[in-house]
Amino acid sequence: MNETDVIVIGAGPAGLETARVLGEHLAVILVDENVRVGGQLTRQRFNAQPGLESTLPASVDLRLGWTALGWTPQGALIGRNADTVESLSAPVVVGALGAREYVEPLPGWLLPGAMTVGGAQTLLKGSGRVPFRRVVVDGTGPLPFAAAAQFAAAGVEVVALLGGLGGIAPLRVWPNLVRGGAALMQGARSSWHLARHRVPVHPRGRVLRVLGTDRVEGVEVELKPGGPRSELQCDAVLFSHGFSSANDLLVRRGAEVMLDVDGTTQLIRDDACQTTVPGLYAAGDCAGVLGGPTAVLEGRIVAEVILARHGIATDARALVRLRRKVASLGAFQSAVKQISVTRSRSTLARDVVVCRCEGVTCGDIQDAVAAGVTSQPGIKLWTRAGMGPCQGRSCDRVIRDLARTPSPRPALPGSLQFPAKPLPLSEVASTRFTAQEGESP
Amino acid sequence: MSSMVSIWIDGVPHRVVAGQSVAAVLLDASPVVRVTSKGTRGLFCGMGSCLECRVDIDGQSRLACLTEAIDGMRISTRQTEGSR
Repeated sequence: MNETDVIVIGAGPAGLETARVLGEHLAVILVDENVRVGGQLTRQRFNAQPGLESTLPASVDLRLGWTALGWTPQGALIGRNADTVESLSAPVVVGALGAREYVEPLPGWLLPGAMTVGGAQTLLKGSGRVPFRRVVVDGTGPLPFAAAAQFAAAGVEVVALLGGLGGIAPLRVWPNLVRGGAALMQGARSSWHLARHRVPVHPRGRVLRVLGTDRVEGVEVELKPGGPRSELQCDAVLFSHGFSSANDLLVRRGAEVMLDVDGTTQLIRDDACQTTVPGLYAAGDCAGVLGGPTAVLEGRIVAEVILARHGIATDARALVRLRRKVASLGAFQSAVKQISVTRSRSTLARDVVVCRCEGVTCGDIQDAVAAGVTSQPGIKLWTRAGMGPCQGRSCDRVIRDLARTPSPRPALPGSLQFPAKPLPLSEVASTRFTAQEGESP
Repeated sequence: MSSMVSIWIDGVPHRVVAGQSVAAVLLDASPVVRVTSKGTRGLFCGMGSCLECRVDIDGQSRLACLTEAIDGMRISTRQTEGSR
């Protein structure tokens, strides 16, 4: 059996590019828990033919429907598909796990019909339509702006877009905006669709409360900060309040992170995209949310660095050009962030559920902090917030924000336990566990 | 004309277009994808992160958003005792 040179976790834009470049020269295993490659940003129809898979070299060992669960003490990756739990071992691992959407908790956000903008887009990209008639889109930035336009073009009634791209860009930001090129064109197309379908856009508005008994029936909104409140009828509300890098699996392996000002954790990498764990690289949004084009470039940079480590000749000048392009795209992204209206975190009411899995409210956490339990791990143990199936993926940012004490030391990031995703005992008992000699989870 | 598949949702047979996620198929019928003693949930993240769309498919707990609806699947949105 051939030994694996590289394992790539995640077959989105970054992981696909890494596997494409490495696959020509090295033995690569590419895993992804989805049934198709493409990740979130280049999500395909379930039955797309021929599909993005065909762009991979034939030698790449592609394992779809494969969920990463954790690591052995020796650093092998444990994961499962429908039939088997197994461990994969290689001297080099590339994490290309992407990002997930962040939604700020608010009253009624647990109701069926309240979801992320990305979740609704996935429905649209996966099956070609959205199963709602009237939606409200709430969120600032290019994603909710483009998504509202896509839903309108797909025949959904977009009752209102609250947020979007915010106001006119300050002049100082335009030089960086122009470097965006294709992204700017996308923005123009979205504006046209929104205008054509007469979608009301309120750049400074927001949803205050989701209304309904068993499902979303409407939302209470303010169309400008502190303005009069009104109600809009809808059968779904789509939120997009930011992104978090999906770095938890890599942190579990030992990669160090730093806390960013917005409460997210960012992997610490050198300029070769290697984390603080030797042989563990990270590419794309899981190392800092900068979008699809940057993810592809980082995927390529990581591949070239790994090829160089294996003594396979690479074009050093091309690597410099790639790095410059990444920097330029980063500047565009931060310019876009500057023109998106920044929402101040609203004060959460005590009865708003923060941990969706365990039903822990803001008040429960505030009581814990008042009782002296101020660290994030402490709050997790005290209130169960973050102990549910999602292990804090939906709530870690808010818990961290509520956990902040007056002292200058930041609250500790939460940590992922094995298994990273639910693994029923019956399936472990009835499936084969294949592991290399001397290893155990 | 798209091909169709036959699936069962909570004991009720449905004919649906092939090549969709279980989540998409469930949402066509109702915004509720999961029913537990604690309440009901719909689709939230749609990408396997929030883990709220766990449904029973042919005796296994699977994520509706990541699973393709295949001919003959028996899907239950109701969780059995002992699970949340």
